[in-house]
Amino acid sequence: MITYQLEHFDDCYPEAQELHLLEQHWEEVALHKNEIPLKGDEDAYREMDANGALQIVTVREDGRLVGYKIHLIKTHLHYCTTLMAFSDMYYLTPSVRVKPRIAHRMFKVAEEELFKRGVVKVIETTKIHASQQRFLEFEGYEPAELVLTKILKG
Amino acid sequence: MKNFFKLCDGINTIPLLLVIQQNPQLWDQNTLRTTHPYTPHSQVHDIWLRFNDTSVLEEKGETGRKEFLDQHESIDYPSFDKLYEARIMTNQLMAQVQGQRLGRVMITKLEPGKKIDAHVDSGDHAAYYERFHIVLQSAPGVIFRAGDEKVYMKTGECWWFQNQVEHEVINNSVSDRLHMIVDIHTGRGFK
Repeated sequence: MITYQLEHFDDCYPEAQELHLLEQHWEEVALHKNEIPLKGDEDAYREMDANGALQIVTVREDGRLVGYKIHLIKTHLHYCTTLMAFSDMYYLTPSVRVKPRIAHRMFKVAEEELFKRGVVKVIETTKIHASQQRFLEFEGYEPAELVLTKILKG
Repeated sequence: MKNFFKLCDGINTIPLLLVIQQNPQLWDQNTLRTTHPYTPHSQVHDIWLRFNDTSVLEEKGETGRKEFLDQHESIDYPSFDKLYEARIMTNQLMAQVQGQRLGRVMITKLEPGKKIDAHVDSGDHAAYYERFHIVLQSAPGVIFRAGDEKVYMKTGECWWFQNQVEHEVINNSVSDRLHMIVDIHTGRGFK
């Protein structure tokens, strides 16, 4: 059985750690691993969760955590009357990624819950080297900005 | 949220869980709720602590069903004495919500991978009593839906919920879901 549900940070984070999901995710998509180690700011997540500024949708297969879709919810600095959701990260383990419509359902549930909370616009992102652009466009997202990064070296 | 309201958390459920574990014979001594035709609770195991007096059904058969289902009066079952910790929790909840009358009290178990089918609690009993859930044991992956709202109720929490709208439960966790259901007439109009 696969289900999709809202969870609070402290309800799913220990299991994500135990299953090494965050490390797997990081290994798969992160850039600049030598310069930037993985170290999540747990207190910041907890604070956002407590303030209602975090939405976590988890995917569970037979009780086991196999995926997550996380959004930060806040008004935009330029549009302070409009609630927006900024994608933090999304991940499905390879074992469920190959199954049909799991990713679609995960996004759908997340969007439905964001809509209930009054979110007007979702800012989604994807890595260039592990692009999900085709999937995102299929889900109704439109390319809007290109993000460029640079590691600073003395 | 309109269909769920968390009253409190931090209830120590370990003493009751321990005595339930020590008395496995108490499960499913009364299966009326879980075996009647089309029951949404067919995958649930129950311990009745307080319930309607089933002797009406036993005496009058099917002709007594309406009388049985409509009556507000519940009686204590022997399990309530055996699970004394449940009585303490129930009395504390009665005091918290200023209950006027205590209805049914049950402990229900939903195993991993099992579900309670979508249904509405209807009839005089559901209209008269408020329904409270004390979560004895749960884990992430248990989904409780009422209407268009879903919650995960954590171990040690106590919730009121609106059982007169369609509701269902899915246990997609790795743990048994054990809830103590307490029906209380408050006369204060939760519904």
